Amino acid sequence: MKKICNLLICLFISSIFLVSCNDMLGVDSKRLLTEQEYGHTPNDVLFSTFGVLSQMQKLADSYVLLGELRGDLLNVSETSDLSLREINDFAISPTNSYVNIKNYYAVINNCNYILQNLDSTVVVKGEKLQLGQMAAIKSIRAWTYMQIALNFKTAKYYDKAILTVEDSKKSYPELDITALADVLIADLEPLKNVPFQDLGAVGSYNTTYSYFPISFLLGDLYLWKGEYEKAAIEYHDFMFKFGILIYGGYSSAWVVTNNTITKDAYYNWLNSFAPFSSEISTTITCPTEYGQKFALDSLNYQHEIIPSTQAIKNWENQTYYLNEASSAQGDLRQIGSVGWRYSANSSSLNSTTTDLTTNPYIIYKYRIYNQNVVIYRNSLLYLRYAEAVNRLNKPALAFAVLKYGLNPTNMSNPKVIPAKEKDAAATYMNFNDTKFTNNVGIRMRGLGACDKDTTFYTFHAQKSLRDSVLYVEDLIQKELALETAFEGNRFTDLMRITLRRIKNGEGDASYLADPIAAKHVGNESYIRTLLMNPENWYIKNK
Amino acid sequence: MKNYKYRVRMNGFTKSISTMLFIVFCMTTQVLTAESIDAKTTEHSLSGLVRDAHTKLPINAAQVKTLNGDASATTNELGVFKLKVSSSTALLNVSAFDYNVREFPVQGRDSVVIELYSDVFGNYYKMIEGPEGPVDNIVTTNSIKGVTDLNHTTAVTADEALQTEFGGNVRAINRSGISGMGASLFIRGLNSVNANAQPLFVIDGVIWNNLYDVASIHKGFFSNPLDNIDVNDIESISLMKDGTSLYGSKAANGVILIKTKRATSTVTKINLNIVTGMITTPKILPVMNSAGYKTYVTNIIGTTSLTNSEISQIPFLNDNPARSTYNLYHNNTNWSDQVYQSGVSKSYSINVNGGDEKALYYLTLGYTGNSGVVKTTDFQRYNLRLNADINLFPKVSLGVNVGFSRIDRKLVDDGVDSYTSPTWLSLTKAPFISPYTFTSLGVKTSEYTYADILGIGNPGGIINYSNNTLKQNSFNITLKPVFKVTPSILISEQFDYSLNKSNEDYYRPLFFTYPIYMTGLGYSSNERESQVSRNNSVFSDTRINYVKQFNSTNHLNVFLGTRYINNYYESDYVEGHNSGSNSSVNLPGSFTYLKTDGINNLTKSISNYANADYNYNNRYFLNAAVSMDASSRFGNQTSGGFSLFGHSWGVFPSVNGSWLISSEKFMKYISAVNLLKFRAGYGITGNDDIRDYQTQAYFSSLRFKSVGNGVILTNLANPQIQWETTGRVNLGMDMGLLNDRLALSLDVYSSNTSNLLTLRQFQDVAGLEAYWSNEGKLSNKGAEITLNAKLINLKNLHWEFGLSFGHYVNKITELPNGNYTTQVYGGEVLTSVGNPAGMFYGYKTLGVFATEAQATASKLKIQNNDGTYTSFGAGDVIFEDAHNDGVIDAKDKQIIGNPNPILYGTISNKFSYKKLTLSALFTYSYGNDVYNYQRSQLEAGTDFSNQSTTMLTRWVTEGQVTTQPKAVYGDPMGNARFSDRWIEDGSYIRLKTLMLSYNIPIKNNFIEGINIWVSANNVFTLTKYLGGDPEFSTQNSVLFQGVDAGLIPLSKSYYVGLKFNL
Repeated sequence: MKKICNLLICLFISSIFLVSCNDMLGVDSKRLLTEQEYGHTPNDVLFSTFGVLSQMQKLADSYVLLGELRGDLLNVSETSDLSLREINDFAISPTNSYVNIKNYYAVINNCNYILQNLDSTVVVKGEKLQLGQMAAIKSIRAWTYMQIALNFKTAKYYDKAILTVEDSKKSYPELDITALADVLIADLEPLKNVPFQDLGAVGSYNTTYSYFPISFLLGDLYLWKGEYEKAAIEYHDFMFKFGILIYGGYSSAWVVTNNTITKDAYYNWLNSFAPFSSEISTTITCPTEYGQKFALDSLNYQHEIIPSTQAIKNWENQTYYLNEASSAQGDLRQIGSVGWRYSANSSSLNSTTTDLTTNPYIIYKYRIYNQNVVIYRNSLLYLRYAEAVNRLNKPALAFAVLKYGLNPTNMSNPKVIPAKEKDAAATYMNFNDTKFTNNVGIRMRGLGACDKDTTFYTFHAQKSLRDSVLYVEDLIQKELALETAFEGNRFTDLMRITLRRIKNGEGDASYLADPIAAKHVGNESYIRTLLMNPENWYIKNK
Repeated sequence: MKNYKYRVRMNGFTKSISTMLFIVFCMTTQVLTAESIDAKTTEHSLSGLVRDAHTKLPINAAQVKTLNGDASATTNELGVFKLKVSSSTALLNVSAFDYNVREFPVQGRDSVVIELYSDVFGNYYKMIEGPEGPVDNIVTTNSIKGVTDLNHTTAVTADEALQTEFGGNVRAINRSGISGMGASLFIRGLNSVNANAQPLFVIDGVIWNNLYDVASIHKGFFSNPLDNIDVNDIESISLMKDGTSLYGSKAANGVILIKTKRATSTVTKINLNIVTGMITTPKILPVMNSAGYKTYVTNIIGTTSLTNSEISQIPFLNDNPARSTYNLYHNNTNWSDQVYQSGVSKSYSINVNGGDEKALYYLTLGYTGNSGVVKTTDFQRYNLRLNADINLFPKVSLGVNVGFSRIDRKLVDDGVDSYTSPTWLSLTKAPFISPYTFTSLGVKTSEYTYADILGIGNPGGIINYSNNTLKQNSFNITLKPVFKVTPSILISEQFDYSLNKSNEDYYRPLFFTYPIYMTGLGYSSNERESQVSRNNSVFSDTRINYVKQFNSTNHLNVFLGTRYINNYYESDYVEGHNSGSNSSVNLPGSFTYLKTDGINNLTKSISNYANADYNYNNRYFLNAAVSMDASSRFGNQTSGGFSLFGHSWGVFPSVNGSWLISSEKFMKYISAVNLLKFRAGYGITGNDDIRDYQTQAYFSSLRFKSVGNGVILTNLANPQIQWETTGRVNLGMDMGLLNDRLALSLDVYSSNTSNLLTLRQFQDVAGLEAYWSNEGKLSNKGAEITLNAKLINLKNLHWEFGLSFGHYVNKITELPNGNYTTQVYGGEVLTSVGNPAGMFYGYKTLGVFATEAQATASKLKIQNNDGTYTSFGAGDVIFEDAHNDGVIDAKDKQIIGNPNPILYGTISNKFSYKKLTLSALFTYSYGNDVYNYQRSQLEAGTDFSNQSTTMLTRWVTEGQVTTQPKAVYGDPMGNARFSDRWIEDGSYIRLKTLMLSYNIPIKNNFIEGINIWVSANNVFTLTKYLGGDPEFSTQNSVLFQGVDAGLIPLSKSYYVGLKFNL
């Protein structure tokens, strides 16, 4: 009997041993890749990069809608859904379909995973093999982190991929934009001169547009920190290194016959948005996949988002300058920024024949984007540069960006850049290179020969240098509205300038609150009061 | 073999298990010592008379033996037997030809009179197929029920038979009127909320993956794996309600054991079964005719923003016969004629069994085919099965099972679907439209009309141009060698390989369906879908069994073993749109918007188990079982169980005991009680139906810009994820009264389930939405009563009456995430602490405002999207303002219905006269609420679709008192919102089967017997429910119970069957 008992016990125990090998319970998958299996080869990095780019697509709608609906230029309409109204009214609920902070962290976490698997020390043929990849991923990560901090006030910072539920529950330092800028600058600085790894084209999409030029990012980060010289240097570096221009060829202009303005125009400014235009640095490509959401296109088409009255007025109130004798009302950049729904192509647009009630405006930019949302382009770079140098007490230089263009001729023209702003030591002022010859003023591409204009758009030194700086900063802010309307940067641009003025004792929150409140017809005072408290500029995340 | 953690955690749970194991161990040693104590057994002389219970005439040649088989005798022509039994409390097993077996307690008496009943009655004293093989019902310790006779069933699958066979012991709800869809099954309440709550199926000892959560591409269809077994091949079905710890982490929802037929003797027998039947068209909600609909649609057009000139262009509103569209729009079509037909059902099966002393075999071939009640749909099954038992060597035998089945189905979408479901479109399609086109001369053609201007497809066209099929091949082979080491020790291994492959094709035709808008892409005018899925499973069960009768009173049966399952499920799906033609239906071909998707899930699990049955003197029975389970789905840092070899192991013990009081000597004084057994047990079981791969961080691929592949992180490792744990107490009693004319079985139970799977939101930083975590708790308390009475027992006439009740109260007791609601078919289901799962949560209504004044006085309003308010007016529904703020909004939602019944079960009657048997079985459910989603769409009055005739009573004029609100396009006031208007009492009682069978008295060398029978199903149903049928189950999920999504209702059916025994 005892024997049998022993036998039974032995059998039982051995059965546990027999079946307890890992193999007996290990499950692999043909569809899923585990942490052990994936991420460690250059090919994996490539696939992960495309994965990150696909996650960026989820941010495209949010970037534009949060940046514009909260600003003064884009508005909701009768047909807008609740989520859009929430954004417009600064009352974003946790269920808002365009705002999900997790989409941002999904990009961060996937980037972190790539970065922790990248080996930047592998050298082949004297080249650090994966450094370009690292720069590319870090640029995406930095931009995304900026978006979190700008929209949600703080970002939880971590640089190791979160791979377990337990890690996801840990607490991470919460950084606001200035604290974050320090971390990101330290992260990006060493990679400033590393060219991005070129992954080529995916179908018709050129992935070189997927990254955020590190100098541009650094410029933005310094600008948010208030380190204007460093910002100006970074922006200038980018211009100089890559020959970034405000190209005169992309000018919209009225057709002139017999020295008078006709009713026909060339709308060349539109071409600067074309998919492979040299004026675009970064886009988020939108999903073309069935089942993946890209709302901007249909929101626009369904008139759920429309230009505000003020946005239209901004263009209409400008003066197109042909010459001393001849001028016309209106900024030609309006056409291309907004358009009409049923117009077959932009150049046949004629404002006199359009009935706005049956055929209202749509945001034409979103159509030219051709399913790519433009994030960084040359005009924005020059305007940011202007913002930085203006704060370096060079309002005339800043003004030259708008009106004259930073080319060798203008730079040496004392009427454009007065002697007191000249500074041989300031490398950021060096445009003495033939590649800048064709640089024109940003306004010149929609408002004619405004560099010759001495009547309508001028800048004279104000009572004090500070006043001059503030004056030009206003002009820059207004130019941003004319040039980069609806592109997603409006609200944060207003935020940055307002915060700066509050900090410097140059004004209060009304600089942001007033123009936005003006959009909320019938509800101005409520919105103004709300926005007078900068705390309310941010999205309350749960 | 790295990273092994030789770490054993002990917590309260494991301690309790250790205690139980200790008790079992002690018991075992006691048995061993009892051997010496009981050695001096006293023999007891017994004489008795066996006679017929009615005629009191002695029965000759009746077999009398003690239950433990130590003594036996045969009665003489006077019905008298004499027996020397080892114990004065022995239990006699008495059997005789044409009579039911009876087990009779000696109770210390010297002489007994035993009366036997005809075998036309059902019987408590029978063998039940348990996990360890057949056991006598009287020695069972747990709550297990078994059936063996499925002779006259018209069920296509085993689960359909469960309702009629087990009554209140299981809540079995037929899914729909589609043949072979089977039934949703809930044993002892709802034991899970988010995981599978359906029982485990064990077929011939093999655990099946029942693919409960696998979605078919055909709407309203569930591909039931039990389809693959012909009910005619089933020997027995056992329902284990508790004491299932042997199946450990798979057994929390109860276990159903199915055993297929095997040869029992070497005599060659041939059985031929022929059944043919007719299924009538189901009951359909009455919809408005042309006249009623035209008034309605005119009414609702008036509430749209269409201008008068636009309205004048609407063809059906222009009654000028000269217009070209007149013929098309001026008909009175009964659309259901285009869709429904009477179904025809045929089933043939032949089996041969027999063999010699070397081998026994059972071979069967079967065919079942039927045409559905929806035109063009059908079901065809071919099945083959070979079960053989081979004696290889003197001590080694081999069991072999081979099964193959092939199923072909033609289907159309079913349920409420406004694009593709012909059954639904036949209700909503405008009756004035013609199904067929007209020539320019006004002659009706046989060409189907296209989808109409109201956005509704032509159900006739859809049926004829759809091409929706399911092809399923299923194969399994089992090998079971058994080695008899000593007379007491058996070692066996059961190995099974099974493959279940199904191929689904779906085509939504162009023109006849209305184009579907796909967000961001535009319209899809036609669509092709295809899905191939495959489940293969390797199952191994190694067992060592020790059986010992120590002496006449101590009997021990111990087995332990290990079970291993490797299950692989793969499914590949592809869809494409807009091929531009109904003749171009091949993927990829000319289809666009191609989308592919799929699942590859590999699951492995191991279970080490031990089971001990101890029987003392056939009076005291004890069973202890324990299993230790590990699974690839469990993390290695679970809070339950223990950790060994880098894996977490769940431990699932149970102890069940019973006491057969009726064998005690003192019971002889209570002559009215023939059988009295108390059962008690406690067991812990688990539910391992958690998702695969949750324990690891993983990445998956996605398409980028249509041509590239990206890979992203999609899951974070959760090493804490584990099984749900259910602990259940059972108390039961079995009684035989009044000379065994009355049998009563009563069970009460109480269970607590913890570690409920709940969905938790990730912290933001994870960048992912949610993960599963084991956190909630729920409880089930309930009772089951089964009663059988032999009401009439005359020579030729017998009447047996049976009654069964099931009752449970489910309660969610803990939700760490708080209460939440789930959207189900436009309704909302509340999961909240203190309430049962599945509660309908919506608005209460108090009728309809008859007058504007009444509406104004109520001051009720709704808040619009833009923050403004709109007041309710005359003809609007009066919603109860539960929050009492004058605004009807989400705050006013309350519980409006409970889909859980108070009582459910069956009432059976069986009459027999000579060789004729008539049985009538009623099924019922009482106290359950139903959300009639179908009706909510047919009485919403918010669009141009045709509505039920109830809409004729809708509010139209000031002062009209009615319960039906006005029809307004788009329903701006939300009158049709999810409210108690759509909640109905789903109680019913129905005559489920009425069957008459006759044994033709032919017996010769060739034919052993012929049985002919006729049966009618769903003969009548008494219910207040307004829908097609109160019995349906849209999905297996707990939260979808009681939601009538308009699947084809069960309908009356009639069958004739012939059974030849050759």
